[in-house]
Amino acid sequence: MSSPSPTPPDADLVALCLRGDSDAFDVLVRRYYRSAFAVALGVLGNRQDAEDVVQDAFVKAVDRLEDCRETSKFVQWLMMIVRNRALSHRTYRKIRETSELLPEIAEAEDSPYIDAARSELADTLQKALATLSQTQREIVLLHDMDGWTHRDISERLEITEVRSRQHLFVARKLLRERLGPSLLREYSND
Amino acid sequence: MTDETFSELPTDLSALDPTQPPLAFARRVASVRNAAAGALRRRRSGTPLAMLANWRAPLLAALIVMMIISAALFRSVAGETGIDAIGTDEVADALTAASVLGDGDDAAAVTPAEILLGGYEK
Repeated sequence: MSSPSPTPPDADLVALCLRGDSDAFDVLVRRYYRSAFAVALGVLGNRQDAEDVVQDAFVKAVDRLEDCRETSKFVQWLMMIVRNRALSHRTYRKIRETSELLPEIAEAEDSPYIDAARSELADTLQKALATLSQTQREIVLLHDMDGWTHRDISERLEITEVRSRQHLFVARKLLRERLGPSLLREYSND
Repeated sequence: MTDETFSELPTDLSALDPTQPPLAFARRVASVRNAAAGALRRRRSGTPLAMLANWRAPLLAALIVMMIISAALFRSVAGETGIDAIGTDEVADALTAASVLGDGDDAAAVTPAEILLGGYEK
């Protein structure tokens, strides 16, 4: 979404994935992980749940790749899967199964101090985001974290661009109130 | 800075960015890849129906070759053993021999069946 014409094109990568090319799949995962995560987090409001849903969605996508009729629109199709799975996950939220992903990620951090600070900040943001409506959360994540345009967002969420801008404005204002001026001052200096 | 202008600034959500730090992202990608490995492997090897479709032409060719070889072998074996010559003629000859033998002393004891069995039943 943030990149208008990525290279190699999605259609080429999808064609390779149809023949089981894991490298092509890897490129697609790297290209759209953040977008998928933003969509899932927007629906669920929880990072771990969002990561699980993103992984499920990618597996489902590669399993049913024949259903993607317009391979050039792979990302739209993938985001639809992510959103549906996130909604389903939210509806039927169950106890998370033990995953090998969590300890692996914990081990992957280079510095425990940076990791702790980042994690604390992420928790604060997650709590603030949880106070927003689903639409506000989705829009602010897609726009401010993944760089979607209002046009992309309006197509994805089936709202007008004006409505998308309004939601973003309100979402930012609410986040500022929830996060407090000190945290936001730190952000605005970046 | 007023509320309005502040709300027009992008919110820094980089702490939530799943692609950071790179090492953690690499682990996440690896996790997705591992989860999808089975589906990708199935795509490489194909479904049983697709596999059959792929092997249909070579199988058919092999079957035709086997049929040709079998036919040639059968012909050569048949030529060596003279299987083609065995038929009603031999039976007729044997019966003729029996009628000839019938002119001798043991003529009453020899039947066509005995001639065919070579007299082993005795």
